[in-house]
Amino acid sequence: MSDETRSDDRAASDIDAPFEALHDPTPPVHPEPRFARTLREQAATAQAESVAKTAPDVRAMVAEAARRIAPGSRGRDHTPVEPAASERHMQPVTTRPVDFQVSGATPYLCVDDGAAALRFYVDAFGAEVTLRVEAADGTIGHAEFTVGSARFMLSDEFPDHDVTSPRTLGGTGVTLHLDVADIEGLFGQTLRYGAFPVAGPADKAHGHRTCVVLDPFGHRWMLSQRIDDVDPDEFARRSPGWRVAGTGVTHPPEPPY
Amino acid sequence: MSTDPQLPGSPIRDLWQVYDDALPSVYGYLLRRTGSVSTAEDLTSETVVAAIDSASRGRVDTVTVAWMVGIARHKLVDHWRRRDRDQDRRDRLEAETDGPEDPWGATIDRLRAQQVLETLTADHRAALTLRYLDGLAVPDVAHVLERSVHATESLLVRARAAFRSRYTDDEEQER
Repeated sequence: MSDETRSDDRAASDIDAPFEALHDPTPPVHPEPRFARTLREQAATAQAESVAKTAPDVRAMVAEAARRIAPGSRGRDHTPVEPAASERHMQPVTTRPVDFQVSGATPYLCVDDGAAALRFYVDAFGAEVTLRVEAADGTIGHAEFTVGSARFMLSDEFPDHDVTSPRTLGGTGVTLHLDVADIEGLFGQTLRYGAFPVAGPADKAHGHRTCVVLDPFGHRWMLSQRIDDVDPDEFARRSPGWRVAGTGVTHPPEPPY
Repeated sequence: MSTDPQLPGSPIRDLWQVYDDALPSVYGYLLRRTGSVSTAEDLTSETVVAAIDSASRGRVDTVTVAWMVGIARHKLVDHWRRRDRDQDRRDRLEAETDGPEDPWGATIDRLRAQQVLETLTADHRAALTLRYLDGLAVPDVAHVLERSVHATESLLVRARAAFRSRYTDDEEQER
């Protein structure tokens, strides 16, 4: 620093001196919980909207996202995100998926990095791995895990047996629908561990609040929280242009609260 | 990892990691500077949405609490400017207070200073708040106000003069 600059500083500091008394550092203040909750939803929606602005058509966006994570990256470098210091002491969001099974069909997920994917499902969805069959090189031949009472199977890719992952295929035609008790919390948690937000949480005509994420391995999840009882007539009334038939939306037997 | 804003390893993921720490800092700053819960909440929302948008589009490399508070400062200044759209009034007030700056030996009372700040134009109020209440260096003030450093120095001269003139007028009225 030159002498000239220093003398400028001194001159400036004389002028600044009376004003220095105004220095007023601001302490952190936690906003009202209700406001904080609403803001988190708003933030999640804003994220989905920002993403949608760059790819207004959601289907194209999902295909594009899946395509981009497919070739080259192969996902082998997926490492679970280290939680921020402040989060290490926080309880993870309890998924509390509803104890509710309408089908005996179990999704068998193929991924291009089984070990990383299992870590992701444990961290992001609170999954419990109940079985793991692993080769010496770490390849997952077969694994089973549960998210609440929902059961899943998983393996690495086996191209010879036509077992291929969404990344290799460039997209997925299946959405995994999960009934949960805290959609905002779980949505935020999946994003924090690297999921891609397709649609932020929003109330739907069928009486559920839902959101959609694409996980880092290309699988598409719809999280769904029951908020209202809607019979088929009410569902139809809320859905102009659609005919609604059947016995109604299947709900978990116990409200997930 | 790639810099693709929509993929894992991106600023948006970093943002969610600092979010819980950043929120009280952003809100605390805005609450203190506006003195109004509803205004602070509105500006906090604007700050968070702007941060999300910026991070989602990969317009920022490093997402930190300080970066979020920086956005809050922008939103605060925008808020004051919105309330101060009357260009004539701004020109008049700024013209009144041009001139050389003498050293001023006063001891400024913080509470009355706050009242005086509220009567100033948005730019004067913003310049003084960022420089002295927040304690930012002049180049950082310039960055928030989106002006050159030189223009910011000139603005600060006029802002201090305007403040002093108001502050002294008030003192005289009290007598």
